[in-house]
Amino acid sequence: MLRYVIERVLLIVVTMFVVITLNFFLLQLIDGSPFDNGKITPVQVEMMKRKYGLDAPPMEQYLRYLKGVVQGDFGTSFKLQNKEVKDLIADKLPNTVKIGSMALIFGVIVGILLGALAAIYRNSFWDHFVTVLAVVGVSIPSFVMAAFLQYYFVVKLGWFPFLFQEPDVDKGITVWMSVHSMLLPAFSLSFYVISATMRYMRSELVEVLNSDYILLARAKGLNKSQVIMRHALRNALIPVITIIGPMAISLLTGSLVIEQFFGVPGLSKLLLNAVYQNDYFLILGVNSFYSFLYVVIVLIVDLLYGVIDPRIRLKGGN
Amino acid sequence: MENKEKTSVLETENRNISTDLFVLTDSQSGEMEKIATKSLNFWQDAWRRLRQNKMAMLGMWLIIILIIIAVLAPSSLMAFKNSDGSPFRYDAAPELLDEDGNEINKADIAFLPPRIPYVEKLGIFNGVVTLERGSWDIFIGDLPKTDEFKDLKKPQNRKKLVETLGIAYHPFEVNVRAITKKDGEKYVTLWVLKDKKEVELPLKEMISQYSRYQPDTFELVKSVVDDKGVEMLTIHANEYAIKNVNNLYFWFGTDRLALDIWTRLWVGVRISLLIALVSMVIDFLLGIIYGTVAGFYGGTAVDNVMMRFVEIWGSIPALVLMIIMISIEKKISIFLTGLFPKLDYQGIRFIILIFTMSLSGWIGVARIVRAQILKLRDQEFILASRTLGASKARLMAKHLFPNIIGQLTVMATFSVPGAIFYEAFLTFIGLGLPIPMSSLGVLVHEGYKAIQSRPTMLLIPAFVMSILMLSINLLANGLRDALDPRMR
Amino acid sequence: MAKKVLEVKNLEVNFRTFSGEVKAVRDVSFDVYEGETLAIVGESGSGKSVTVKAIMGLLASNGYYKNGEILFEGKNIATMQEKELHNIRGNRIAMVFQDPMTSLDPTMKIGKQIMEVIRLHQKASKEEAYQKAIKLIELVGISDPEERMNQYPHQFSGGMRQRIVIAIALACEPKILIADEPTTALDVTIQAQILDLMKDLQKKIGASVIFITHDLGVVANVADRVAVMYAGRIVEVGTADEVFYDPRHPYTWGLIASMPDLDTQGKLYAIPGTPPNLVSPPKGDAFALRSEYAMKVDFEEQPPFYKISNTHYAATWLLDERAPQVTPPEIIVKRREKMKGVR
Repeated sequence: MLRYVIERVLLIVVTMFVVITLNFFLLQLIDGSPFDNGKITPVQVEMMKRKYGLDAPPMEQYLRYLKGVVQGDFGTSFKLQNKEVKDLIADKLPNTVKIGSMALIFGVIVGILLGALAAIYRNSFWDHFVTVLAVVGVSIPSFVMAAFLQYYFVVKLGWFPFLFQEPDVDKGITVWMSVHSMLLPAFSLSFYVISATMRYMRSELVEVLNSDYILLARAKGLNKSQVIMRHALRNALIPVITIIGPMAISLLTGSLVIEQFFGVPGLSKLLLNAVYQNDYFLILGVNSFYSFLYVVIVLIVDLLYGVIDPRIRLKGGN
Repeated sequence: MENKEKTSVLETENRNISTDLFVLTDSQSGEMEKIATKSLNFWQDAWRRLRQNKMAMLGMWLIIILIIIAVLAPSSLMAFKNSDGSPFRYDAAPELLDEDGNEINKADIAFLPPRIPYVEKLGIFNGVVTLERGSWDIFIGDLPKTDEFKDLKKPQNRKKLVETLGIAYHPFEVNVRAITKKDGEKYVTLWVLKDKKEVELPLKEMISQYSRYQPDTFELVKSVVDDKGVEMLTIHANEYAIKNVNNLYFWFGTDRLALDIWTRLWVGVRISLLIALVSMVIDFLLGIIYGTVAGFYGGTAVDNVMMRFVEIWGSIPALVLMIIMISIEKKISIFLTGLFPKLDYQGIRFIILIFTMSLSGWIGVARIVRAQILKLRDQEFILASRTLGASKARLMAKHLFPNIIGQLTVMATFSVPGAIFYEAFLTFIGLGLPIPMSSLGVLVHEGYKAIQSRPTMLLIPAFVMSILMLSINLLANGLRDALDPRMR
Repeated sequence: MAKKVLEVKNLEVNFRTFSGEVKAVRDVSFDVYEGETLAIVGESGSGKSVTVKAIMGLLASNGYYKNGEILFEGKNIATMQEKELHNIRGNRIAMVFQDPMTSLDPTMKIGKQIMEVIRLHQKASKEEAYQKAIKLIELVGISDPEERMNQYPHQFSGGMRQRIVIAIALACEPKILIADEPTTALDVTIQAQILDLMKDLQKKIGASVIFITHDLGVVANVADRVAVMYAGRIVEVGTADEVFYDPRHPYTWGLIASMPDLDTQGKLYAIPGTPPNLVSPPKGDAFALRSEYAMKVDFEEQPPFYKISNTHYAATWLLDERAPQVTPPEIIVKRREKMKGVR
């Protein structure tokens, strides 16, 4: 087990290395510089470049960057008042994480519940309804869902604020109000999670319910709810965990749209702005961070799977 | 065996079995060997089961209908026609004549709401938009920007303004109570603030020539006066009447550039499907080739390296790859133009889009193909085949491939709605097709920008997109159930 | 006269499927006596599994009791409510399944799985159940029970898993143990061990065993009485000796004849054809189409049971006094002679 973890961590390091390198050299291809704003002359651009060391040959810049990374310095942003990249990320990250995790937790719980119900009452009206709902939830693009929700619940019913609000004592925005403003974006994000989890849970549980050991459980004299609670659910949930990882990742991407719609000051906005303004280090920093998040989450989920499924845990490996 | 205790004599209820039945017949075991039901091959059986799945069939028919419309609607067969008989184009405004035979200005047909003949009688798709406007906008409108009128706008010149425009009251002097129709003419009931009394007069006497809201073009819904005395009128405005193009019908309306949305929508469906299919094909080709090679060299160094590469590549979130593509779009354009000099801007963006979409999808395919090959490689029938001397290529074609194709078909079908969505998503963040090209993503993006003023511009393409994705998903679900051998 | 623990009378079980109603069990009647082992033999699709599942009330959701009774301890299982069935299953009637690799919950420790059935039916405390489970594990021949209690199914071999399944089945000392092809998925050597274990435990507890199998060798090993099933009906029933050495139904002839013994020479006998479609079963004797000994009446009417001895019955028109004399296959005749000679 330990060896496996070490292997995976090594892989992460290698991956990050590749990602950063790839990012760096590809970004070198960007036309234009961070300093273009229409008013600046080419000469001044050259001067700025020299000031920030952007005129050095690519390899030199690359090595300098790597050195910085190893020491925890991811460079500074050109456009945003020379704030350090890592500070900017740390600042915006909580918002993205708050909404993302709300969506994930809510979505997974609801998805598991609905999927389990659909499997248990298989082929009943409820099952068909839930299945159609799942397919619909996956088919309707998240931004359509978000737009629709905004239109209905904000404009028409006025139950929620249009935009996300951070807690701010001066402006009188309490934590509770902030959480309230998070609900609609989190809900929009969660649709996909609910649908995907529900479908998977249903199919896994149906397969489990058809298995021999469930028949044996019934033959022991357990009633339906005992069979489900004690044997079926646990076995069905284990594979469902494996999709949580990839879903968490797609929440990252999905949040791009949601953050735009609901005005959440999160990572994706930071990134997009950086892209359109050629803010090298910021792009590099956020991109690398995303990749890092991704591999870490996948690792955590894999480990979790290994811990929960005794067949894997006790054979020591995947 | 209490109930069946029998001796050698028959004594059942009413049966009288004649003795001459107790005669040996010819063995009919040959009959038994004949297979009772028709023998179906794998695909026929799957098709039969698919047909039984109502949801999947619904999905399939919806897809077929949508494709038929997408093919026919913009084509010269069924498209709306310009005044010269040519069909509407998706990238150019329609050229039409008005009732008097004059060419209609593009500005006049821009940003029109949807209007469908006959359906409009039901009160929907009738070219009517609900607006909230101040009473000034309704009664007076946009005055010319001459010095004279600048003067007249001043509060002290109210009386003069009223005289110049030839209207009965200044809008700030009255509140609107109701607008009614009597004998075919519209009358407005006003509350005169100063006199504190109600008056009724023909509506056309209250509306200046500069207002776009002439009497026949709107209906009053309600009037709200706030505590500062500002009156906001909610009206149903017939944009077609206002723009004086009441003889025209744009089924799904027009956008800000006066392009017909009906045409653009169906062209957009074509293009979105095309993009989805092309990127899927690329993904699958890449994935199959990669996976097959890795699978065949499974366990060796070649396979190891290949899979490590896939892992690392897969660890880069699609988002990151996308961002990079956006960043270096210009450079890629230059590169592509160098390669294919004949490409125009649209073509370049098209290629970039498809390229970006294919970046991550192939990994999943490669993994599955490789896993299947590894599994099948060790199965006995492969061993048997090889013992009989089959070459590697033959093995691949005749044995491995047919086994995988079911799973691949399901994967492919599932990937299409994802691709449609992905294209829309990429367009949203700026990596999509440029205007005036049309795709579902472009349309949804445009529609979102106008969500406050013209919600149908978003709702209609979003709806069609959702239906399309939904039907493909239903079909894919059905395919998966039908092709799953365990369900047999 | 031995006491009856189970009486199955005119049982009919149908399944609703897309292609129609499958008549899986078509008028089956038999008794099970105290302490005996009754083997039910037949091909796949003969209805033997469905019959025993019906006894436990474990039919699939599209199955139902069309007709008949299953009398156990004074009540009719076919009409029982779920609640009552819960009391019987695992407690008074228990079952062992065919594939030990998939019969146990892979994510639950086997100790817990054994204790579960004990605590369910015997109001035992955790401690009591634990002790009992340990004893059971020893009883089925697994060493180091304390350690084993904390292990998961995948840490046991197939044979050991089957022992655990048997332990679970016998934990509450049921009156009837149903074994649905318990050794089919095991190696031949392990098979012998498991059969011996079952015989042993059966004697200790005094249970009756209904043993389903298609392997006649196993039948010879364990059975007191044998019932032969074909196409949803019982075609012959008798003591093991009677059915082996003096079979009377052509199907039984086919089964026995296809079993090689030390004297077998030449080609092995094989019954031609396949079992019939049970959505529309044939109106006469279902085996007629495959039988060399079919008579015209076989295609018209179903034969009743004819008595051969107090314990031996067969449902074939050949036993009617009006039927012509036929000679069974050579092997059968030879074995009959051998048995007579031995006696």
